[in-house]
Amino acid sequence: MPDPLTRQSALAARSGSDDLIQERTGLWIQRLYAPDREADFGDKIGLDLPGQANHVSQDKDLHALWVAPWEWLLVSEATANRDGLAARVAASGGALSDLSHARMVLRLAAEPARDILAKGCPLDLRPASFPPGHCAQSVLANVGILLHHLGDGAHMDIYTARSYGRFIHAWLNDAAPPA
Amino acid sequence: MLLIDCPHCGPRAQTEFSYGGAANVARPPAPEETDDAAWIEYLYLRDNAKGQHDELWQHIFGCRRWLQLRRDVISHEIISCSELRRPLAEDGP
Ligand SMILES: [Zn+2]
Repeated sequence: MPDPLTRQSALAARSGSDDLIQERTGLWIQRLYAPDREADFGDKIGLDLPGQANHVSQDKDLHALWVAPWEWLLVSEATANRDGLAARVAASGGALSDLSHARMVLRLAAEPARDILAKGCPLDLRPASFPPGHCAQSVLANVGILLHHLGDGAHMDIYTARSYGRFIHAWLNDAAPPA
Repeated sequence: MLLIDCPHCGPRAQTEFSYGGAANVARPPAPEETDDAAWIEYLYLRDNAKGQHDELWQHIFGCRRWLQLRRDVISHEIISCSELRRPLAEDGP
């Protein structure tokens, strides 16, 4: 019987490995809600939050992805204690909800990713419309996703609900061109 | 397929949205005093008029916000799309 307290990959039951798609595991993921129309909310809680739609900001290892007006997804590889941030958000009238265990995140090289995603996602993924440092929520094979074109321009991260993880992983492999 | 220009996220495919019915349908203020015919009128009966139509849409796979949209149901042209305001604007979005 698996240890219920040990965090496992969303693809743990899957066998084999591949070079095309890498799962990013163990991430710290929070959805951040600000009080409506409070422009200095980021300053209050000490974060650089993108005000513009579909933009991503980066502060050291912490990414802030715009997901809706006054809402962001905060993502970090570091699982350091962030009680200070939680306290500042609460004191400023905002809210944080922990999605660390609720999402599966896959990283693909941007070059095949653009063509693969085009088979099942209606977003305009041409670099002029979806440049590095941008994010967008959409559907992929009828499943809700959040797509992040990383600042290096060479990679894309796909966020999806963990329960759809194996389906999206299989779909991407199926849609990928033969190696 | 409609291309809906979400005022928050930008132009997106219809598949990211969920249709929320006709806008400007007023709920009877006192349901307990409303007779069945008037309630059925409110719940189910729509004019289905030719021409411009005010609709509610939710950007369910995007920003999740509700939008108010005016659309020509003959040409499918979207005349305007804006964030849903309460109360609904009489003259459309
Ligand atoms: Zn939107």
